[in-house]
Amino acid sequence: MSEPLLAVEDLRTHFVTDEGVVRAVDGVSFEVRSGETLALVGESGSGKTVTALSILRLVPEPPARVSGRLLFRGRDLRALAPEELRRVRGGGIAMVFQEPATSLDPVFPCGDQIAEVVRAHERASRREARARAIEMLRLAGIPDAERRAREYPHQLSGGLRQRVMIAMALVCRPSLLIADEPTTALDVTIQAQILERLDRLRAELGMAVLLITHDLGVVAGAADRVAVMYAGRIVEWGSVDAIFHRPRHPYTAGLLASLPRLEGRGAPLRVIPGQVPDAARPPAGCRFHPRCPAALEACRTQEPPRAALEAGGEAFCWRSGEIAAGTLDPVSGEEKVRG
Amino acid sequence: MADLRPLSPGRIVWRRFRRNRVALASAALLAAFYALAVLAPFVAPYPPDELDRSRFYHPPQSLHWRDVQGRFHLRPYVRPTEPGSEPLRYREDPRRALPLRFFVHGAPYRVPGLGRLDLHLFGVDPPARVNLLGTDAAGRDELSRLLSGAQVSLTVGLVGIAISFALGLLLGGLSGYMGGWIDALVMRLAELLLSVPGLFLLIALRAVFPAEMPSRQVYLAIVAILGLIGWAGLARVVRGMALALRRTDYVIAAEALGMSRLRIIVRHVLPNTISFVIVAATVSVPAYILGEVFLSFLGVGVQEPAASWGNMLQQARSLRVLTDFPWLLAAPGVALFLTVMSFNFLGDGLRDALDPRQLARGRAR
Repeated sequence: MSEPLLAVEDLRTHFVTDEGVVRAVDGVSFEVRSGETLALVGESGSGKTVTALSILRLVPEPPARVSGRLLFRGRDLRALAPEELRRVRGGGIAMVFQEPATSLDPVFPCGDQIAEVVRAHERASRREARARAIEMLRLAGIPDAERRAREYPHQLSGGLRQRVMIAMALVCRPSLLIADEPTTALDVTIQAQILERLDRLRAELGMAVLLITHDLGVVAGAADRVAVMYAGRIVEWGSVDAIFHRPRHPYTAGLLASLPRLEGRGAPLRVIPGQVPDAARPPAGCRFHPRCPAALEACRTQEPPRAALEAGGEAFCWRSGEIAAGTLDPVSGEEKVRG
Repeated sequence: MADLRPLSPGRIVWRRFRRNRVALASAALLAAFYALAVLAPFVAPYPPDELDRSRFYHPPQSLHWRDVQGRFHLRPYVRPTEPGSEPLRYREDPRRALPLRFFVHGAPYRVPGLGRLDLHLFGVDPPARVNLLGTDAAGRDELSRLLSGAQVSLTVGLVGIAISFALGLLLGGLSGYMGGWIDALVMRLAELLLSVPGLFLLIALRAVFPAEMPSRQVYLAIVAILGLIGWAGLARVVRGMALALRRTDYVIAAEALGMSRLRIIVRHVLPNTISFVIVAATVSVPAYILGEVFLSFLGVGVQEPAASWGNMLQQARSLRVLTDFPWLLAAPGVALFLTVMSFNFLGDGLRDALDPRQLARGRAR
């Protein structure tokens, strides 16, 4: 396989606080290939956003301590000089944030803010930058782009603002877009439009997308591959098909089981009992074991092994073999006799 | 039909400002004062340093609109005066009238770009003189001095603000956004400046310059001193705002999209402090005006024969003036009072109009 666009190797982002060291991201590794959409899924507090911010080196150090390798096109982002890093941000890797309401500067018209990104990366006259901004607004699906470019963020709806953010992120044609919960703050119909637009732009501009979300519905529609995060670690990753139909980690299985289903209308929603552990005091062994229905003694004390999955993915669980063999129900924890 | 388009931020601010009558009146008054200062050589009937040895301490002459028969004249006139029996007392001649002439030719003055002009707004037929605000100890026309002094006193505030705010914004913005040793250095420097009593610092810095300097240089020196003292307080506030703005989503977003630090400070951090800065600048102008008055009052500011409101007040500090020649105190005093009050009212009005919380509410529609 060709070299991945972005390879994150053993990323650890720890925050030193009065309560101890908060291990927000604790040994995360994954790859993003050119042109694909990789979804990074997890509950609130699982470390998704910190992972994204760490990749772009937007986590202030100190107070944070970051280690690991962040290879973008084979070069470690952590070794770049400030000016090189500045060029990668927005030029090679761009990011869209969760809150379109606050991610745009309230004191400038939207078009100016996009044009400014152009001028930060390319030698362009004001007029050229402006034309590029309007063109990009149009690509992002904003009707009447010329007029919208002159408007201030407070004059736009949430959906339009997020489109402006997307236009701003993509105006310099990055090869990787990190979208951190891009649709969480929007209502459902707008969500679908934005995701569809993002996917179209991904195909048109030939870029890869790292889609960060807690919403499995979003993942199913938009991603090629999925990595599931729990308490600062990746517990399982694989193709969307494999993860959705043959989860090998009880956490993934539990997440999927807790989705509301059409056929089960009226039935109570399933939940995973318990809460995400405090990142300052993660449990020993497998971090999911206090909430896991199938936890064994080994899960409490020893880190789970890496288990390769048939479709090229991996799960980190002591019992993924049994789950794969069908002798363990990962949702209920019941053991079944084969046959 | 009502226009339903959303208002731009500028229009929203103007709408709110307009409702505050006092602030609006203050703005108008200040605009008039500044216009008079710009047009001073034209509005003033005489040069500020022209002496008339026959008219020391002449009281203000009142304008008359009706003649002895009680007939109304559209053109006002003053009555000529002559020295009375006692020294420094003047007697009006009720039989004669000196009609005010408009757009008369008088003492020449220089206008940059236009060369020499000699047109004045009003005057009387020479050799008689008109002193609507009286004359001072040297027989100089008080009105002409007041207008000429306005050029110094009113601009010293604006130029001083421009210097100290440029410094304060840049240093405060850098300090807050960059953090680290830059922050520590700038803040310690600011604290050093703030911990020395302002007036003492003012006089001490004044001592750096020679005591006898041409008035233009003294003026520049005063402006420079006031500007160098004034930035510290602002820098501290701007630093605090920059610290807060640095963690806002749009600054992080700008960083994530490869904007350089300087660009972020100039384009995102500083513009978001603007509503505070406008208000702070407006309410600080009086401090600069009073700073000049203070220096001139101590005799180390603008030197005679050039006029400033400060050295006019300095002339009027004796008890004798208060009892016998009160116009010498009243003219610069009232002008100063009105200016300072207007800046304060204007600042209050702007603060209400620009209040960030109100703006935030407006944006959250």
